[in-house]
This record gives sequence, structure tokens and C-alpha cells, in this order.
Amino acid sequence: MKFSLPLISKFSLLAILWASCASPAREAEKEQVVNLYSHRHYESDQRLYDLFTQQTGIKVNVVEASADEVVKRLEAEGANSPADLIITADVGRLTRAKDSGLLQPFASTVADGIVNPELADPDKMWYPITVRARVIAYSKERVKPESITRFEDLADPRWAKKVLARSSSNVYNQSLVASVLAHLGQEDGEKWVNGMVANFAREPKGNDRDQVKDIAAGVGDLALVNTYYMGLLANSDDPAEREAYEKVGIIFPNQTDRGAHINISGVGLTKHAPNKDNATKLLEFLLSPEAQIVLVQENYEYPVNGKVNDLGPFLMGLGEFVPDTYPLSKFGSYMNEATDLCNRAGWQ
Amino acid sequence: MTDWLRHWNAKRKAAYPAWFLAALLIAGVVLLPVALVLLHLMDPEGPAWAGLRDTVLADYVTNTVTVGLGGFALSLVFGISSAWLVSVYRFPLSRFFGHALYLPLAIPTYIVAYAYSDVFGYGGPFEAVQGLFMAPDSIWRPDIKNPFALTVLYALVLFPYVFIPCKMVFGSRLGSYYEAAMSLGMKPARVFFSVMLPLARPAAVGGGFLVLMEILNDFGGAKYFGVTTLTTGIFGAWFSKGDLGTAVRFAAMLVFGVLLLIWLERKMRGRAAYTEKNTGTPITPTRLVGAARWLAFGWCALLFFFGFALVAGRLLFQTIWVRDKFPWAKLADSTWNSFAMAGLGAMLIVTLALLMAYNGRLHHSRATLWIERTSSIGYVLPGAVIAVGVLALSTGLDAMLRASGWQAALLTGSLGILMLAYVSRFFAVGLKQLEPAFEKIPRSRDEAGLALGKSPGFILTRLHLPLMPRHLIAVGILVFIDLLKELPLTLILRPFNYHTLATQTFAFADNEMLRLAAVPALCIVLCGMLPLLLSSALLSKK
Repeated sequence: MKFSLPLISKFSLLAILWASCASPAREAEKEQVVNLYSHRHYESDQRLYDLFTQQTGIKVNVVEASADEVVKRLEAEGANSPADLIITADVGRLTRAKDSGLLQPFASTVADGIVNPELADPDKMWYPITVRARVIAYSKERVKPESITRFEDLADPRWAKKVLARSSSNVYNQSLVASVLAHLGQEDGEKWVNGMVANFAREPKGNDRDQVKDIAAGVGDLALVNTYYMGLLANSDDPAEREAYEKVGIIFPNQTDRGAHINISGVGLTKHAPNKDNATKLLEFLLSPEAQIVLVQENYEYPVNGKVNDLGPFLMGLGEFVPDTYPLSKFGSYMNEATDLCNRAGWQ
Repeated sequence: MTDWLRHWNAKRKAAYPAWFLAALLIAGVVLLPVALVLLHLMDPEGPAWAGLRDTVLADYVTNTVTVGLGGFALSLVFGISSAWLVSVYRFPLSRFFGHALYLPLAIPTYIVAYAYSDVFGYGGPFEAVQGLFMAPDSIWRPDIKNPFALTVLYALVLFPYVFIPCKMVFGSRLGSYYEAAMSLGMKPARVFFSVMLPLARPAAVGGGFLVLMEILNDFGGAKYFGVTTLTTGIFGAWFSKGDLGTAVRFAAMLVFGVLLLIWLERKMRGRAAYTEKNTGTPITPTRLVGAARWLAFGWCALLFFFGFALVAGRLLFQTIWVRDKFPWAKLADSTWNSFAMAGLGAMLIVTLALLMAYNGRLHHSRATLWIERTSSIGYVLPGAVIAVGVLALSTGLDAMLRASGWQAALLTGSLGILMLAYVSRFFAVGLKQLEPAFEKIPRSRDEAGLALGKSPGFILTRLHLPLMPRHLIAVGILVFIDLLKELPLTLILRPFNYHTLATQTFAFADNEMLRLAAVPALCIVLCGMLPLLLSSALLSKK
């Protein structure tokens, strides 16, 4: 049978051939590389990778996606995955990757010397690179900061219709609820979530910045936010965002008991990492004061390297705080229960 | 022997097995990733199922039905009304709107959600305008992050899917119907509702289904608005809880819901079918006078302003604002990548859809009908679900290649696999839009060609294609626009260091840097605008 392909499909076939050959990861086989699947997509990170390449000659290849998707890809690829490191913006996803058998231990005495053990995996499969605190933002006009000192206070009926939060599908909220479950136990944890949900000023929606803007707009008085986003707001090039920031204050909760809930951005070594040595070098570079200072000053995240003392004007302005020292690696086991709890409580 | 085989055998004499097999192969490639995911329906129910069913499932379904059917209905209203106005009447800027109302399609759903929140949010332009003549404490800040506003926003950017085919119907040779109805003394409104609307129904509803599926696919906008739908539920169950069994059950609900709707629509339509006459004249537009003139203008202007101008304008404003801060270096790369992948993908999808649609013309069997219908399922499922199906496929193939001695990872993380995912997901768009073009071509052409002993390939390339180059390009452009806006597949499946405009927009938006996100978002809109205007020009040529 005569079957002549239209010109257009010949082009398409050529195109597919070209497309399937042009995988940058393979071109890079000869040179030294390290391959990342990352949930962090900041300009500062890219600059750090470039700096790392300059210093070591190791090229950094990155795929950026949400942490959950990154973990799914790693899982699907199995032993054939080209990825050496996964980078997430919260601890829950790292512990899940570990529990799914996707990680292996680093061998880095350098990292062990720098990182506080409570912030890292006891089996050394992941390390933190930065810390963010989840705090309570309050309206300077309508709330006396001394009237609220603990996360537990957000469930107090006196704050009915005053509390703002984003969706519980957000990992920072999930980790926060997991930490409360870890500390208070199932029953009191559930009471707390129910009480807080009853105090919501509106349905959960938007992102962290929107919660602050809604305080400024008078929708509510208190909100759950990350310190890191507060830094972005304070230094925004949008005058309305800076104005919103000016109208709120920050409370580090639970300063007299367990400490403020913190979360990390962290790096895990994949089980089948083809470039394990390079991956370890990159981890050690990211932990070095030189790299940490960039993350601190440009992204308003807290360093994990104690040698970095200059936190920049924003974080210095927030002042010192007592962090929760419960081992982060143990929150992971509460994550599923935390999301179930939020669903039951109607925290969308 | 199964029914379809008997059917096939009966028609064997006239059958062209190579074409049939080609269609089967295409359907296989398109369906494989979907099938790999849906197979998990056989899994025992996941650990999260019972909890989610008892707590949030009712919300998911209610919200999904609200935004899905609401958006479907609203876009029919927006699309049919505006198409009717610009086709049948002349009023200020009516010709301009005939083209300009294609443009909302260039705006991705996740961007419209962000842009409107910004416009109506704290310190946004809506507030600023009120501030000009109102006291600061009496300023009204509507909370638009709710399911109903989201529905309206979806309809505002997606209604061109209805507008475009309806405009083609109203602009085609319907003059005789229209004039006959008018000469019988029917009022224009009655002519519209009882004569023209039934004629436009298949085209309008077909477009409406595209709108519905786009809505069901939106994740970013719904998540930002805090509207939990089955789609956000799939993400929650699968990605956050790692419960594939539950996620697939949600996905199956989406698929069956849409199939049910399609079936209902067919039932309601009954045997009525519209076939375009190739004779007769187009309707001569009537010049509107008085209030009607300004009402028609106002309606179209409203749709254009809220569906396109406001968002594009806001993005432009923000782009100018951040021009010194934006990392421009990567943008050229992203733009090229977006263009290249969307362009190649559109060509490939149109080619494959052409082959499949032509096979449908060659074989009038239930088998071909089923092949065509099922190959559209990918469009119903959220992109991320397809992505994971594609991952399963590509890693499986890689393992086989390795087992047979290949060294490097060949497929996973390559652009070829990304292209496969595009085809699997967007094949339906190409096919659905091509079928009407084929229907316009008289069957006598095929019969004459075959009688002269010409092969089907010859008939397709020499007899049919010359009749529809404009239509082919227009369909290609619609697919191109869809690929340009595509996010989840690209995000999950892309190679290292590979960025498109959509992934760059996502990266900034995910970091809550919405002003910076405006720059790549604006590029998506600009890249989509020119082809859309071209397609409008091509399709409105008489």
C-alpha cells in the first residue's frame, strides 16, 4: 500500500529524533557533574551553584519542581535515576523520601561538625541547609503582643473570627500541625486544631504573603506565617507590601516552654546517586559560611552554620528566639496524621 | 468473535488495514500512560480513602461540579452571545472584537487567578481607583478567592473555545436560514433561539467540553483560591499522602463524570445533527442603531476587558515595575524552549490527529469510533497524573533497554518523553477540532478518488489537505497555545536545566514573587497573541 507521509509529519519525525537525542544530562557524562532535583528555585541558589562550579569544576544540573513531584520522579526512576541530591523546602518530604527507601547516608564529617544533630537525620541521609521559623503575625493596631504567647492561644475562643491561615495542603502548615501532635499528643492536638479552625476569620486561601496583607486590610488579626516570607515582604519592591509589613508584628510563640516551631530546607542523598562524591562536596559547600551568608542575606533564612553571625538587618531586627529542639526527624511520622486531622477539622 | 472484529471483517473489502492499524497505534501511544495509571483502580483501596471519603470528598465533588458546570455554562453564554453579535451585527469595533475575543485564550488559568487577586487585593489597582474619590476606611475590598469568582474567571479566559467555533458556524453560509426565518416575520430574538442556536449547538457544546476539561485540569488557580476540587484532591492523596489507590479513584470519578456528561448531551441532542451546506450565502450583517448598538459594544468590550486587557495590562505594568530586578538572561532561553516545544508538539499532534480523523472517514465502524473516543481521555485527567503515567512508561522502557545492553538512561528526562506526554494529553484538542473540518468535505471526493484507483494516502494529501490548509493551521495554533501554557507535564518530566516560560512563571509564583512571575507570564501571553490573531484572520477569511 502506498502511504506517503505529509511533509509536516516528516518534519515532526525529525523533530522527535532531535528532541530525544538532546538530553543535556547525557552530553555532560564526561565532565564532572552533580544532578539535583530541587524544590528550591531561588536566584540566590543558582548563583551559589555557579560559584560551586567555579571553585570545583563540577557542573550543577538542576530540575526544579514541587517536592512531592520530585520525590515521585525519583521513585519512578528507581535505580536508573540520574539524580544525586533532592532538595526540599521542608523536613516532611525528606523524611518521606527516606521512609520510602529513596535515600542513602552521606559520609561527611564536615557536615557533622557544622550541623546541630537535632536538625539532621540521625542516619545522616539528609542534612538541613537553612532554617525557617513558623511564627504568628499580629495586627499592631488591634492586638497586644503580650496577649498571645503560644500557638495554643490561637484556639482560644477570644480570637473567634480573627485567625488567618492558608490551606492545610501547604507543607509548612502540615509540619506545624505534626509538631503540635508530637508535643501535645493526639487528643489535645485535635482539640487545638478544632479550636483554631473555629476561630478562622475566613476560609483558608492564598499564600503566606496574602495572610499578612489580609491582616493589614482588617480581614483578621492573627496569622500563621514563615519568617522567610516576612523578610520578602519587608524588602518588597511593592510599596503596598512594605506597608502591609509595617502594620504587623511577629510573635515567636512558645518561648517559655517548647520553643518556636522551626522547619528546614534540606538536602538528601539519593540511594542510587551516580555522583556521590560530588554530591557530598556540594552539600559541604552549601553548609560553608560563604554559601550560608548568601542564603541568609538574600533569602532571609536562618543559617545552620553557627559561624555565620551576621544575619543581616531583617533577621537581626526580629531578634533572638528559642527554637523548638524536638528532633525534626521525628516529625515525619506525624505528617499523615496531621493531614487527616486537618481534613477532619475542616481546615481546607 | 467480538462485535467489532465481526464488524471489521464485514467491511474488510473496503478496509485499509494499514490505516486502521496506524490509528490503533496512535491510540495506543496516547492511551498507554493513562492506562498505566488507571490500572491502579484494581488496587485495593488505599489507606487514605476512608478518611478522605468521610471528610472532604463531598466538598471536592461540590466544588468540582460548581466550577466545572458553572464555567461550562458561563462560557457558553459568553461565547455564543459574543459570536452571534460580531457575526450578525455591525456596531462600534464589531470587526475588532471578532478577532480580539480570541485573545483571552492566551492567558493560562493559573495566571488569571493570580492577576485578579492582585488587582482586587490589598494595595492593588482596584483599591487605588477607589482611593481617588473615597475615604480610606470606606474602601471596598471584595474577597474574590471563592469558588464562584473562580468560575467566572475560568469562563472569562476560556470562553473563546466556544466563541471560535460558534463564530465559524454563524459566519458560514447560513444566510438562507436566517433570511427565511426573518421573512416569516420572526423577531430577531426568536430567530436566534429557535433557528440559529440549534444550528450552533454541536459546535458550542464541543467547545464547552474543552472549557470543562481545562477547568478540571486547573490546579494552580484552585489551590491559590483555596477551592478544593477533585483535582486538588488527587494531588493531596497521591503526592502528599503517597496514596495512589485513592488518587486514582478520584481521577476515575473525574473521567466518569465527564463521560456521563458527554453521554447525556448526546441523548439530549438525539438524532439532530447539523451538517453545513456548501451552498447559499453568509448572513449579511445588520447595522445596529440606538441603544442596541451600544449594548452590543458594551457586552463585547466587557468580555474583552475582563477576559484579556485587564490581565495583560496588569502583567505589563508589573513587568515594567520589576524590569531592573528581573533576571533577564534566562528569559530568551525559556521563550525559545516554549516556542520550540509548543511548535513541534502542535505539528506532531495535528499530524497524528489528521491520520486518526482520516481513518475515521475510511472506516465507519464502531471500533474506529471507540478508538477515537477513548484516545481523548488524557485530556480529562490532570496533567500531573499523565506525567506519572509517562514516567512509569519511560522508566519501564529504559529498564528494558538496559536489560538489552544499552548503557545510559535513554528516555526518562529527555525531551522526547516530554513530547510523548504532550501528545498523550493534548491529542484530544487536535482531534476534536479536526473532525468538523473533515465533515465539511463531501464524501463524493473520496469516492471519486477511490474509483480512480488512488490510494487513501493520495486522497488525503492531494484531495483533502488542499481544501483545509487554513483550518489545519488554525487547529495547530490552538494546540500550540495549549502547549505554551502547559505546566505540570513540563515541570515533572523535563530534562536538567531546562526551563520554559510556564516553569519560570511557576518558580517565581511558588516563591510568592508574583511581580517577577509577571514577566514570563506576559511572555506567554505575547507568544500566544500573535498566533491567535493569525488563526482568527485565517478562519474568518471567506
